Amino acid sequence: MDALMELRGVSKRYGRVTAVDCVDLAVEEGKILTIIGPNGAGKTTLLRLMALLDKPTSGEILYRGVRVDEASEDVRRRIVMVFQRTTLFSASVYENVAYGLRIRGYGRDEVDARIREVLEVVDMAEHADRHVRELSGGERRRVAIAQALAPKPELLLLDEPLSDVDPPTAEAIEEVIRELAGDLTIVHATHDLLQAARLSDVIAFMRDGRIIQIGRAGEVFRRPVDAFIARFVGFENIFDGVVVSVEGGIAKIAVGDVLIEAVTERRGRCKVALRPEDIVLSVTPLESSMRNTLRGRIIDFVDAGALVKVLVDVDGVTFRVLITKRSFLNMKLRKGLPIYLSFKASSIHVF
Amino acid sequence: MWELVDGFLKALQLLASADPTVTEIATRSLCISGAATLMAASWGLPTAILLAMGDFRGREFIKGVFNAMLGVPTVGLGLVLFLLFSRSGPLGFLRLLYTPMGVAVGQAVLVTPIVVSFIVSAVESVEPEIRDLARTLGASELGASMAVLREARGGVALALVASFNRAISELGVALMIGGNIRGVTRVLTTSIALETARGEIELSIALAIILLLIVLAVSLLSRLLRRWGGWTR
Repeated sequence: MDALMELRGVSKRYGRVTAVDCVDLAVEEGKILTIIGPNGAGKTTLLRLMALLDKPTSGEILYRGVRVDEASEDVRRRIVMVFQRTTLFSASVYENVAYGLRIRGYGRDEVDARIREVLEVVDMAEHADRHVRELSGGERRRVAIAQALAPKPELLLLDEPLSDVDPPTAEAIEEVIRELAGDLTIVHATHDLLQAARLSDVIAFMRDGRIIQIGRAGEVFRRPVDAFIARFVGFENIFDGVVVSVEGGIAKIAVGDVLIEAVTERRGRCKVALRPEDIVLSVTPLESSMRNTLRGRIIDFVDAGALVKVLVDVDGVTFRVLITKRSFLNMKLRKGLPIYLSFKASSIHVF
Repeated sequence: MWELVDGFLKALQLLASADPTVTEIATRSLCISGAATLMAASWGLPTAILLAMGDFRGREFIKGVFNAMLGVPTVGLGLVLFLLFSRSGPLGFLRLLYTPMGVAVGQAVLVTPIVVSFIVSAVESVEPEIRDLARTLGASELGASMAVLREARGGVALALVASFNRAISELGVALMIGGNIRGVTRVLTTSIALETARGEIELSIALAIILLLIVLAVSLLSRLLRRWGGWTR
């Protein structure tokens, strides 16, 4: 595997707080790696370590197989980080973008050409002479990205690049990131799931300073390894269960008094997760190939515009179901109404 | 009342005719206080950078000392320097007493706390992320420090302007170290004091107007520079 950067047992402690806890991580060249996790998970600290801005308390960082630290100026110049809170020098857009180029000893004409090029990429070419003080938040973010791209880094680290900007800017920046992918390696931290899904080749899930799951984007979304990630990626129905019997690859799992059929290799105690949009509601039992059909009673619903979340009690177990407003109205659903839930055995994720 | 108006009119005449005495005194004042400001900057700026960016014990204490010395009485400092610079004093061998250089050094000491305190607070008010930004864009530690200093350039300019204005307006040091010797150490403030005492009101007023104009011009110039250079944050 050709890892551009590799972290081995990297930790960062501030006093008694461990912000990054023994992280092993390989960043593949030319790929977009997304670090996703809630606020305070240690994403920023991890990025700062990767940017060689801070020194890890323990562990080592390898760049193209060679051990590096924050004194490795030559390597540090091939890595640029864009901070979550946009910071720019109090100068013109041009001067801001020129900074990294001048440090690297680019000539006047090269600086000029490169600045025009990167400002074009972020659609800020007409604003080169403006002072950054006059720019909007979204424009400042674009300048920050142009500034980072100008010196042609091999590794670009983006800390929440789309947070706090208006939707058109976010879309534009996302587009830029997607276009850049392949030419350079990007590590991108976010707590936005959809963003992660759209942008990543590989997703690393981080919590409490640790990476708890890493894999191809689809895999992390379909097969989360624990209840925390499952909830984060949208499995709203997560129950404790016990596998009671197995027949032809199909397991019967007892969740309280409810029996659910699922496809799994697991035996004994387990967790069962199910997305609310994978459940079909019907007033009468459905004639279908779906293996699970349960009878319950509507206990509540939450109207969220085009979609309605319906809470259904099935023998003491509460299921959350997402249906369209239209079918909600067509079926004339109301509290206390008996209802049938149907879902496929394969849409159950057991872990 | 008429004395004042009369004095004012005669002062304007002196200014309009570019009276050689007036010009000479004003020029000397500018040179001495300009030199004092440059000296204070030459040692005050590195001190301020060390205090604002360094990480060592006693940093806060030293900053406190400079802050406390901001309002030091000029006569008191003048007396201390007089004792140091006098023939029998520990620095007597420098032969600074009653020389323009002596006045400049004295004023430099006087304004050093202004240079240091103003620059420290300007540098400390720069967003801490600026250093990270410079470093991640490839700057060395030194380069990052320069980037932070550049962000604080408005404050640095203000420190120098305030220092110059304090130096050119003070009387105590110029009088006690310079001695107000005509043609040698006579500056605007010492002349104003002397001429007023001698009843030469019109000359005093003319010199006072020049002093005010210099101070105003320097302040105005710095404001303009700030606007043109994008110094305000």
